[in-house]
Amino acid sequence: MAVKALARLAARSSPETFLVAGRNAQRLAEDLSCDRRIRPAMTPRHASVLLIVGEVPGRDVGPLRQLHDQMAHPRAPPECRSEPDPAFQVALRVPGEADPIDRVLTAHRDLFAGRLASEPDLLPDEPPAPWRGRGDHGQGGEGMMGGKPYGRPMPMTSDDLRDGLALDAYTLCAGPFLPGLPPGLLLEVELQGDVVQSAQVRQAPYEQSTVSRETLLLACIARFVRLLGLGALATRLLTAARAATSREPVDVRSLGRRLRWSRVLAAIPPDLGIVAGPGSDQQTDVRSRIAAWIAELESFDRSASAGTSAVPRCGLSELLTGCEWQEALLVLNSFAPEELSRICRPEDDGRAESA
Amino acid sequence: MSDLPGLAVMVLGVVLFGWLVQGIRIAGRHASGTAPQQVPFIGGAEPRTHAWQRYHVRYYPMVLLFIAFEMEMMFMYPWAVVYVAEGIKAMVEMGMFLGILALGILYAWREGVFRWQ
Repeated sequence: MAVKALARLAARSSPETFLVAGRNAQRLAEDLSCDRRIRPAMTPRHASVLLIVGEVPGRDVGPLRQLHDQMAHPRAPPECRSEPDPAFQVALRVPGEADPIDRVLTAHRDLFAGRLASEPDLLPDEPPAPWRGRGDHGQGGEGMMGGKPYGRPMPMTSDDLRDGLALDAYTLCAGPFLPGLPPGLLLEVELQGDVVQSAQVRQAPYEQSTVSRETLLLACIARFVRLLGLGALATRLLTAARAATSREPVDVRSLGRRLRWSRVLAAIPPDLGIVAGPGSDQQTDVRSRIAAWIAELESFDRSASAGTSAVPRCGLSELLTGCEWQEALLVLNSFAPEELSRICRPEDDGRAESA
Repeated sequence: MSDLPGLAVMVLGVVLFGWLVQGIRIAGRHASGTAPQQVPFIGGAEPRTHAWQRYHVRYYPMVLLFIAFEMEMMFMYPWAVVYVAEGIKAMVEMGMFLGILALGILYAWREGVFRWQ
């Protein structure tokens, strides 16, 4: 009885939605995340609905299935507007003219009211490989737990960059749908603690549709500011970006004032992510790039935009090596999508794929 | 013989507790979720290594920090006993002592002894 009452309460709440952006859909996904009827979730574990916006290439269907299975029960069937890939079983298709948020709300209500069954798993409930050591009885091997537990090796020590303290080197494959990274980017990062030892791009980010300069600035600053923990300010900027897309007037001066008063520039570590500037002797770091974006937004001087674009001559590995993970995310988000695509060229070692 | 009921109660209590622990283990078998849910969320990609990392204890800086605070404590214990009787003079002397030790802690702070990496 209490469970039914709780389920009725849950049905009336706004659904936690994990948004996945595909090709040419990052702006649309961000516009949908501003809708007050839903609560965007940071991980699929917190979400009850998975909303896929835009076209996701076939090679990323496996990660999508993983995200689907990582959602806790009860989970609604994924909503897809475009023609779904046959390998990814989609129960519900959203017709082109339907509002996706309405569909999300309906699915969420039906799920908790018991009218819709929770989606079954797509992947088998088995670890990738049995736990096996080196010995006849599965014992032995290097690492804390012996051998390769479930087929994955344990991180072993290697030399550190900063102070010579050899720590465990953990290889992280971040992406392609990690919040904080551009959609589609698959980054293989070797971390010791949270310090990046090396970074390789395995998959370039998806191409995104061209938008007006004002919308681009608002969206890029919003993504950056969200990483610094200012979620409300980021939502305000994304709402302004949505208004700019619809050609409604945007009070850029007020937004610029809020950005300056929030002291975002002081929160950025100095001399981070230094790349060559427009001139041969000019260099820009993350702080100066964000300051240039804010100044350009406040004055909205189109002629200044060509002068402030950074020209990264180094690859991603040189840019991120030595940064902490949070600093690495700040560096990645301090470039506009076009500049980032130039830096994120996949490594040419046979495992690379381009968008 | 008069202890027999107490002993029986104790043995029964131990057995019941053992059964309770086993019952909790059996009831919570599926609490950790399915195999895909046990994989950490890193954007959907398959992880290449486990996320178990060892961290260095950093004995030397930890011992230095310990000594700094320990010396404060060592002198504050007897000082606390006589402080009320001695009055302002004792407070000023302890303040000077703490100031000197605080300089050492500030130096250690700048050197990154409090950063857990």
